[in-house]
Amino acid sequence: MLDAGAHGSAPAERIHNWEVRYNQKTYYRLPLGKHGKRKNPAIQIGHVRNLVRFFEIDACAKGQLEQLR
Amino acid sequence: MRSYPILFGYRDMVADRDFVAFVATDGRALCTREADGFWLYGVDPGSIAGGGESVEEAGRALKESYLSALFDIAAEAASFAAFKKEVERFFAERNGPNEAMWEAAHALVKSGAVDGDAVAGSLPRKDAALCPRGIRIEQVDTEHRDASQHRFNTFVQQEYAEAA
Repeated sequence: MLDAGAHGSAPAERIHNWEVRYNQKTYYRLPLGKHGKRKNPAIQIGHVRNLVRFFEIDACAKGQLEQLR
Repeated sequence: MRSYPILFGYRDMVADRDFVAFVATDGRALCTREADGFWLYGVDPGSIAGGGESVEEAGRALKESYLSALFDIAAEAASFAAFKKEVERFFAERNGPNEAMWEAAHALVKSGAVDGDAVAGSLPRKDAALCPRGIRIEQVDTEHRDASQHRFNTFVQQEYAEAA
């Protein structure tokens, strides 16, 4: 999704999160997979929803992820 | 989906090898009941979110989201000055769409058109105009530490009253 909607973004793995830099902004809190899947995987789409709004890439993201439509 | 304007205040100590920092954040979040549960989406800071089966659970997840971002920033920072600069940036980067929805939800609450109790009834109500947003980061003097440095969180709150 990031490749399509936020071309040139640079996700970097930190201790707790993916840190995603795109268009001169930094999203600090996209959980790493092992954390995101740990408790309740069904609700974790909310983190993606927040990232999509943060970078304002709604149109492209909705084309990529059915859960966002 | 109906959304509600939320205020929160966090008071935390963050320690790294070279410094201990006190971080006080007064921010905003948008509470939305989604098909998959309750979610709190950050406005400022804009890159945090937390979800759960109840508003309280979502509030705890939001705090965990916030702290994990601070912990990651502390782990990358070479000094207190670098940590402070990055945390200030973290707070300053708002989530524009969430902010627009927060303002719209706030206007609905102020007009009386929305009964927020149905979603966030257990939260205290605060006047947004009396709750300035911001972040304060101070280096803790670890040589002269004492109990006066302890601070309580202010709870996640729903904004309800008329703004001045």
